[in-house]
Amino acid sequence: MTDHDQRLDDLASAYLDGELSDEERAREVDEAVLERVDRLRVARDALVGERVVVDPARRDRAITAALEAFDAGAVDADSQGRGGEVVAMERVATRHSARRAAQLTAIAAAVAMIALAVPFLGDLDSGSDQTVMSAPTESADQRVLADGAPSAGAAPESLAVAPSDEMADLGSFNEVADLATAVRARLDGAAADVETSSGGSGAGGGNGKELEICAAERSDLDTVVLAALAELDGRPVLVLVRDAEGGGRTLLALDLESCAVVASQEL
Amino acid sequence: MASPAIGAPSAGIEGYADRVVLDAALAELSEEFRVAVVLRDLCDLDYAEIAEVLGIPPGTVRSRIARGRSQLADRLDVGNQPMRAQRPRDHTSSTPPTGSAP
Repeated sequence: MTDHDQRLDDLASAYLDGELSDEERAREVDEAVLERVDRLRVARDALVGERVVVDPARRDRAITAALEAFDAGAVDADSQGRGGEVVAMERVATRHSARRAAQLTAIAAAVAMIALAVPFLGDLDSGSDQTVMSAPTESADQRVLADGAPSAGAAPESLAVAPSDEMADLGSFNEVADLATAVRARLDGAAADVETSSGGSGAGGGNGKELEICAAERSDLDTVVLAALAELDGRPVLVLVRDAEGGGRTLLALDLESCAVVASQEL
Repeated sequence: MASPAIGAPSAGIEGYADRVVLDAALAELSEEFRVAVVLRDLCDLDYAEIAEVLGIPPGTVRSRIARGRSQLADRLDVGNQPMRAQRPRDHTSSTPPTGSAP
């Protein structure tokens, strides 16, 4: 920058701030100064948040870097941003919408299961270990079996869930993979229990009071096959296992306080 | 490089991204220019107050603010934008001066 350019910027900047001397103010308009006034005004307004002057590509790089840092749990967003790949915002929006929908679905399923399980506590606490043949709402599609035989015309899949104060506790895990292993074992055990129950021996779950809510005809529950408690990385979580749309099952761990999904894994 | 987007400040994630880019551009300025620009534009101090805070003459303050803004405009690629289409926010209603030497 030449001294002349510096002089023009000096005048333009002082003009923007109303800091011109009377002598400078009295001079006639100079087009070169006007252009610099506009240029410096844009920079100033951007700095104080009154105008957007950011190159869209740089903005996308910053957003991509932030998303990558968020996804990876990394903290060095700055270093990732400089080498970040630009992605279409539509893809980002779609990905996050799907993730949000999955979270809301899991939370809704958890709330629905707890709401259904609570009324049965009274039945258990009243001292009956006998078969409860219907839910308090007496709807035909809600049959609850504690230790008894499976219902007639039984569901292809039943929901293994325990009352909230005796929900199965899977234990403590540092990694979601370990939790997934325990869940698989639990599911295998539940399947064995169902077979045993069908044979008439009547063994329930691991704690003897586990409930099975037949959920085959309930559209709001028919994809959740297991709910249990666990501790993941020191955090108490509600563990849900759902049938995935394309086959297989998905494990979700929800924070008990916030209901936020803290981990998920395909089983 | 694509032309910068000019308009009202963005809300949400785009607004945060713009702030990150602006902060990065500001951080690239030398400290003496950055401090002068921040005291003027973000802290809203006038030249005399900045001179008192920094212990330098008001003329030096004026020069540092001008150079800092100019460098910030360079880093934001402001030169590619259409001129004279912005909302005025001036502290004076007088016409700009000429660039000729006194």
